[in-house]
Amino acid sequence: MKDTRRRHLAGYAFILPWLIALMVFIGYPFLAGFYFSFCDYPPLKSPLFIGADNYLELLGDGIFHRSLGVTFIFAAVAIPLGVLLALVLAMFLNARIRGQSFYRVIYYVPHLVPTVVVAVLWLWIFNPDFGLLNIVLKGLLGPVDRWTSVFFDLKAAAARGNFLRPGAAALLVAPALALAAFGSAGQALARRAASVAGFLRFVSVLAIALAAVAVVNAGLGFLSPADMKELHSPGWLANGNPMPAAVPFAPSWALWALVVMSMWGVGQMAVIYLAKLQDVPTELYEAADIDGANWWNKARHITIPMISPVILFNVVMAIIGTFQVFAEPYIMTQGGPEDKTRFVAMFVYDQAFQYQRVGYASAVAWVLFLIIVALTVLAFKATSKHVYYAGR
Amino acid sequence: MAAASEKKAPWYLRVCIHAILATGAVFFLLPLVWMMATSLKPLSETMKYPETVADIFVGSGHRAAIDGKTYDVVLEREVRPSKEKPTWVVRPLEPFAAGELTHPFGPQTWMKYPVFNQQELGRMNTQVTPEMRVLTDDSNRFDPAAGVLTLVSGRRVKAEAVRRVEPSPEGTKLWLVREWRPEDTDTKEVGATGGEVDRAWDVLPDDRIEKTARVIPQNYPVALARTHFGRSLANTLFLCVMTVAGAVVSSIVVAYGFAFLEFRGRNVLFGVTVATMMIPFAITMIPVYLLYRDLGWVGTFKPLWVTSWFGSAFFIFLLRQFFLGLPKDLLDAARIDGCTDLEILWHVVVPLSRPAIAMVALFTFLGTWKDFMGPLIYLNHQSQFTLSLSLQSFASEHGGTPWHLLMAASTVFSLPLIILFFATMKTFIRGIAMTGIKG
Amino acid sequence: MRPVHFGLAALIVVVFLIGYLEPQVALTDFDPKRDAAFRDTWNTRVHIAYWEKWASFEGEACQKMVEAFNKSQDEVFVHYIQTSQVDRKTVLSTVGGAPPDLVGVWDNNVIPFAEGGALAPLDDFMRESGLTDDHYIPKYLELCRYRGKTYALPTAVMSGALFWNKEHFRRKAADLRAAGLDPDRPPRTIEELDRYAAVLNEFNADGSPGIMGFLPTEPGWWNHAWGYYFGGNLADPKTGRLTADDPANVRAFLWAKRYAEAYGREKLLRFRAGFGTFDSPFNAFIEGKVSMEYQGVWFPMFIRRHRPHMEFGVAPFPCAAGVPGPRSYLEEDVIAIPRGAKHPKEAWKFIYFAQTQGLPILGRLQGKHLALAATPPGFREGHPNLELKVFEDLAAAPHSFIAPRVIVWQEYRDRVARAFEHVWNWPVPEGPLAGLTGAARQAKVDALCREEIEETLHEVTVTMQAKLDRARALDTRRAGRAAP
Repeated sequence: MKDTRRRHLAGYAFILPWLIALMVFIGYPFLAGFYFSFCDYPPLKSPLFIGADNYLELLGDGIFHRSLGVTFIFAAVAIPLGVLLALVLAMFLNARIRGQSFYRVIYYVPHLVPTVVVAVLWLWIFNPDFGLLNIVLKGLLGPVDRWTSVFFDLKAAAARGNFLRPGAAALLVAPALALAAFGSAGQALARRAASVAGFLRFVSVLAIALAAVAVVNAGLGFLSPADMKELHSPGWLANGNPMPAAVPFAPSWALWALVVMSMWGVGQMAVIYLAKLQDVPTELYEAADIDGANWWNKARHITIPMISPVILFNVVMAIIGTFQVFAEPYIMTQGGPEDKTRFVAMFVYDQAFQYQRVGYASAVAWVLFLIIVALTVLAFKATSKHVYYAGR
Repeated sequence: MAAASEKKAPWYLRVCIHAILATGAVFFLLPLVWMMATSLKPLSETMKYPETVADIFVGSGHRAAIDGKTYDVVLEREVRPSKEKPTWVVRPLEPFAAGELTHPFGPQTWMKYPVFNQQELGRMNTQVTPEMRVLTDDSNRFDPAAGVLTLVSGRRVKAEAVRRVEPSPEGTKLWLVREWRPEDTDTKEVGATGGEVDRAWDVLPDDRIEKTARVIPQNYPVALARTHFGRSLANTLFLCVMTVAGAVVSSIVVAYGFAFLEFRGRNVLFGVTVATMMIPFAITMIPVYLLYRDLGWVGTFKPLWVTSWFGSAFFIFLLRQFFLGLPKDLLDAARIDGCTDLEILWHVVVPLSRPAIAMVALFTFLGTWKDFMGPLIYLNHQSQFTLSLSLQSFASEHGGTPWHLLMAASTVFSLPLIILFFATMKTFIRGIAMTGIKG
Repeated sequence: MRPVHFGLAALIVVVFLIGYLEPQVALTDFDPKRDAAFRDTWNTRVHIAYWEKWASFEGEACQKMVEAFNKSQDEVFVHYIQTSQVDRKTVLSTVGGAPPDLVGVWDNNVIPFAEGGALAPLDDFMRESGLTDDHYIPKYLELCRYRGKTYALPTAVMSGALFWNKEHFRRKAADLRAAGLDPDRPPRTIEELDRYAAVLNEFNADGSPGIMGFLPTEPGWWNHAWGYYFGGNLADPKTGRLTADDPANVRAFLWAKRYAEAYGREKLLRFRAGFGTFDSPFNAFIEGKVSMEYQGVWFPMFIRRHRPHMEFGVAPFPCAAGVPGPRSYLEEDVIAIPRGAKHPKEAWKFIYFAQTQGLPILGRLQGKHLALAATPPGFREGHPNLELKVFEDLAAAPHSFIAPRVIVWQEYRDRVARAFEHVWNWPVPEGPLAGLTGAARQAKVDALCREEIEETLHEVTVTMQAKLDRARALDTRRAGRAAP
């Protein structure tokens, strides 16, 4: 008995530092923040209890709504895009080709760059006059007429009656090939000669990709306003204007710029997927091969379910992270053109440290917390049927 | 694009994958490459639209021979001989102050005129001596017959003609070239003129100027000085050492407690630990700040490293999972031998857990090195700034951003991490694998 | 004790020691290299830090004032420390409990800082030193007051006026005369300003602007204040209610919107993207890209730095017809003692010196006029700002105005400025304008924008009024007294 007692005490002794942290650095601030959110609290005076006034004020505060909107739009775009991109990247990095580890390193390096450097570097890249992005875009799309007419020149077609250029051929050939590869005829072929079918499928995918590029090019040539053609932007980060077509509720270019910048760091998520991908037992793939599954079936029915826990993990981490984005907009746009990159974390910081309204800021932080919890619970519930935990 | 299966994918697929990965790699690395390229360019090159692809990565400069010696030169401006009058290159026979070439008042006035800071006054006071040449223009006029140069300030000095540039409507391009020295990289304004008369200069046609690549490693010392690199590095290293030591020690101890010791409420507490990972920083930021204020720690480094000595949920979680995977018999044997828990921890568990501990150390180091918001809130005095904060305050200076210096500082700031990563790659990968183990 | 336990205990002791000793390591603001003189006085004087925002020649001017003080006595040594974002840093350091002894902030910081308890009142100091209210021009002192107490004192002042490019006017003399305008004088009403601007515009071959006669967004620092020149107000002085949606403010926004729409917003955006920074020869006005601009008293100094022989004129900014004038927006930089400063008495010594002997030094070197009611002899002679008189008259003008003295001013001002940006960038829907030209088009644009402007300003007013009412109610609850 005494021994057990001693063991218990030893246990508490070992976790004592963490207990202190839980109470002092996490628990107390958590509860204190909750209390402050019901107070008016200029930090140099004492808190004054005012009931739910702060929350009521939040309901009517237009700028708070806008920062919620900015954060939500950013999350809605950056999270799926990032998770998907990381997944695709991980699958590519998992392929057994020469230089596999070399590629893995390259794709991870951007994540190692300190946040401040990322912000400053991309601030420079987005510079409208001398930044890399505009240089590259101008180089690629500069002589726009020439570029779009490489694939598909409807104007020339009208003039000369001849519009069959190299890329346009893909538009005709692509559907035929796709049908051949994936249709029943293709399956019949597959049973006879495996490699021919595989090759056929590969070529058809290539053809479809080319066709898509051709269509996009044709579209760019016809549908884009003069601005996109020239792409001398007044400033990716300073342009508060809505998108060229004046879509209502559209965020500014600045927000898209931040999304692009966050895509640069998907290496972290990709490597996590990669680790999990190694764990997928190869017997499953071999069994699928025997059954005659192609890569898409294998991916859909084996790979994705097996790594689904990690996908969920990444999504939850991304949700938590996105709602706390602070350093990049702080350095790059300071809240952006007309508050269009004022994320909620920045709003909290401003209210607390510039306008000296700790109570109000705490209320905002708590709303943020509740949103994160709600979204996380939603993520768990919505995918519970689809997430497969091996070994449970 | 199948996942790792035993047989290799067919050759065409492999080529395709290579192509896609290579293109992606270019896009991922291009910003970093461009950062390093910009860091070696002079400021004027960063403000110029690149004409060729090579221009994007390597700054270009010019070399020319002036008075027999070859210099690195900068093309200050095109000399367009006026259509009616000739332009003169003259040698002044009496010295005068350089500022008189640009200001309508003389040194007696600008010395008293308070709008110029010390640096500008120095430039304007430099003497133009008979060893130098002056290019006349609309403001400084030369009268060849009388041999008199009328300066902007109104003063007339004796001068003799050296060269006469004829008016020609369609002549070859003539450039005013000026000697360029690496120190010029620190000027904030593009094309800083106004009194740089201690440099050799001449008026030369296009064909006597050759284009070269210009690489300026001097950007680095200048940038490091302007961001107070030594001091910031020391501050950052101090914080990194303290946080790594704290995270390692505390996480090991607490994880051991959760993994191997039984006490009431252990599982509940562990669950709470995991749950706290979801609490956003913004919620606790302000009350914690006020707590530190009451403790008197604001304005010191303590808020940035003390909490790491109390453990972090993430590392406790990971280490505990790792410990649970260790073979139990070793621990039991040690316990039978009469070791206390701390000794078991130190002599048995830690040696077995080196990779996991290395991962905790690495990630903590990475986190502290990159940390921006913490130093922003808690550090007030410039002498305390960490690398993140120094870089940010340098970037937000007024008066035009010196991108080349900024990129140089950024490169130096990021390089240690990248080097560290390469040196400890296996640990990194393994650590990341561990974070993904339990979804 | 077993070695492992000993090791852990030793480690903990070491960490405690580091934690204790850490702030003692020479972490100060003072830069020994720059203030070489201070090494001799480290033990004989009290050293205090003065956080101030000015850099470049303005910073050097303030440093000269500091040097003069340090030379004039031997008890206190002030260190001038140039600090960016000095207002935010003041809040952070005061809340954190370790503020400097002197801070130089802006007048719009006085009320929130005073309300928040971040500044120490100076009235007792003033009384002891014999500094009375009539030492100052009233409006400039009012900016430093809150609830009957003085929380800061002025250092450098601001007034604004119309700068016009005489070279442009001369070049376009014939066109101006043809339009019935006098090229030898600046416009006297806003309607005249519009007409002058229309004539002064110049366009390139491809239709893009080469020179704009006037742009309300240059420099864009006082976009919230245009309404005052139309006779409006941002707060009713009698009732204290916020009036951003005052009809005069709406007119001001409409007036500005006309400039945005007249030549194509996209073209204007590109034109404006080519402007350089304020303190450079590529400043829009200095370079000659904009012919007329509303700027502050410091501007002639900056012009003379970069284009010394530029010919420009300064005149009171015109008001709309029927609005009494001349008037100018008055602001200032102030100096204060944060609450919790360790050496308030020594800090006051410096402030007193500044208010008596220091401000004229600062004013001359920065090229500004003074907040003092009586100009000391010798101040005006040889003053580097040749246009000083215009600004001095404006500062004394009865219709010149200061910002409303409400506690939510900073946020209010930011929101009105953002409303201005929003209106400026708002894309006018093309549909209703199809087929209209000339005056009809102008009228239709006005009608469309008016609604948007009114809505935007109304939203700002309502939100901020709610915040103001809430703040006042809280005030009453806290102290049991009526709020201003």
